[in-house]
Amino acid sequence: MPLFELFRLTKAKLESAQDRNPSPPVDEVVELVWENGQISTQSQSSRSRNIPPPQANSSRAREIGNGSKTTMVDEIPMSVPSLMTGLSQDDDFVPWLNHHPSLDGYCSDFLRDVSSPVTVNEQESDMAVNQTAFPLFQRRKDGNESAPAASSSQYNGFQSHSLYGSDRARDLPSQQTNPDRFTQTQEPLITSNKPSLVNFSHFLRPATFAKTTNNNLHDTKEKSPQSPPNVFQTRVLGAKDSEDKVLNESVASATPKDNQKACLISEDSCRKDQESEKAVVCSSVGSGNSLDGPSESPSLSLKRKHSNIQDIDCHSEDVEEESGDGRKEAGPSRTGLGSKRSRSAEVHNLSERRRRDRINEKMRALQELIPNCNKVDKASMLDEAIEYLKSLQLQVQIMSMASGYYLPPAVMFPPGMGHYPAAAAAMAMGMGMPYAMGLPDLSRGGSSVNHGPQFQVSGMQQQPVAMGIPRVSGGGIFAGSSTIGNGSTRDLSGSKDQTTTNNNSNLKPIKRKQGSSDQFCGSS
Amino acid sequence: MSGRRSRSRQSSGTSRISEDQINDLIIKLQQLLPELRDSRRSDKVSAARVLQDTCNYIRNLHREVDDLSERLSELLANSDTAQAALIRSLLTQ
Repeated sequence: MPLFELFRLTKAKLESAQDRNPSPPVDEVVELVWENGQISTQSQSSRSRNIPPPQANSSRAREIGNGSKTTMVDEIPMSVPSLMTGLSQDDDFVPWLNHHPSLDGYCSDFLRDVSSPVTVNEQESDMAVNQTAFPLFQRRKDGNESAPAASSSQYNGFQSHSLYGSDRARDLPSQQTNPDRFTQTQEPLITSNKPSLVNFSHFLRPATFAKTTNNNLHDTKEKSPQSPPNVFQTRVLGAKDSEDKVLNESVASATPKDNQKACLISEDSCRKDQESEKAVVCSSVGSGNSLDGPSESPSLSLKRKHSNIQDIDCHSEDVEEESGDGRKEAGPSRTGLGSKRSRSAEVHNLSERRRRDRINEKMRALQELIPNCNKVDKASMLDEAIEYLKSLQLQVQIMSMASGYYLPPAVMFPPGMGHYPAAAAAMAMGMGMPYAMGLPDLSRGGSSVNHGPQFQVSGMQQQPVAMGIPRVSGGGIFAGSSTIGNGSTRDLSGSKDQTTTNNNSNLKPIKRKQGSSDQFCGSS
Repeated sequence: MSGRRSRSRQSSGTSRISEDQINDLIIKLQQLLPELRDSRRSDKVSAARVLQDTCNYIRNLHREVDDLSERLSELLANSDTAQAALIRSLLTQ
């Protein structure tokens, strides 16, 4: 039975192999992955996928060479609080170094910058004085000038900043668990470290977050083969961003007042853990803003913070939209009273913004309908719209009335009317004005005079309040109007003067139908 | 970025006023609209709705004016001079 023997042997072999499997294969996989990672980017995705098992993590850490301390952060966040910088540097640097060995110089520059913040401080102190509208750019520029060695790497970071932001925003929805972990890990760090380091670690949060984002990107990279360049750009960016935050911190420490504010902001966002990634984003931006906005009050409430976020979001709507969605989706992963409040505030903000957008859109449509309206101000625009609407209503009334005169051939002007064209005109004008005052009269006059349907409709639309006309004895006017049909001219003179004067002021704006009015003007 | 931010912060005090002002104007506008005038006290109509209706109403009025002017020009073309003179004096006042 050699065949059976062979089968048994192989089976035993397999079993033993299975027994041995649990730990080594993972290591193997990770090693293989890491080797690949050194060669190509594909491995990164499998590596990040393999992170969850602790063995994989530790082995990966061993290979990275910085010890298991860094990678443990992923799994045991609370126990390793002080390694955030190491983690971010590791994860951001190692692939960078591996894949771009020619750029070692930049990395060393970068490392030097990070490790010696004193020099950065010196660079940044004048920048803090030169606060301009674009603090980040200014800072980088100044950094370039004062530190030419690190200039190219810094510039790289700045160039791809928008990409970094959009990538991060896009990845937010899928980052529901990781950012929380990181924020948790950072709490002990912040409390245990020296005060000067508080902001430092805090500002590193975006970097660490970017790291998780990068991992996520690697996850998605398997599906889309075009993304690797992006991944690397963002990875580098993450590093640069952390550097930027470091710079930011040093700037803040250079100016004590601003530093105070930055501290406040960062502590604010630290306390509001529920804001997690958004807080990270906004805190970094907020610190930048506090640098150039000295008028900002140090006691920033949550609401104020949110308004700040909204302000910032208004400036970059694309990123805001996506990050807003990310905020929304990341909401359920957080717990606590504050999270509910912040979420409701976010929802309110979103709905408010939507409402505002809708109104603005309608406002623009309205503006297009109003001729010669180049008002930027909303209030004056609405004012103009109201005036224009009134004049249009009046115009329609008058025209319909004028056409109403002609409609029935039977309703000819009374013999006397021909001799008083002014009176007739005044009366006709007056009919448009205080119409609503005597609606019963209107129906009477309408039926007797047999005006066109449009005449009646437009007459109904008119309001005495809107026209601001003192209540002219409506009965008299309508008696006058009905006299057109009846052929008697009583009571006309009483109301004529008032109506004509009012009409003149109200008729002025009617210039819309230029052609037709010209026609009438010309014919007269 | 910071310029806009600071500006918006500075005008936060005055924006409240203009907001009220705009609300007043919207209410005024609403009272000019025949379809919204009836419900002016009973229920609050959203500003977007008022603006939308205003746009529609203005379009309607434009159409009406066009129709009427067409009709009037026709009438003026084939009417006797006395009536035409009256109408002209009426329209050109």
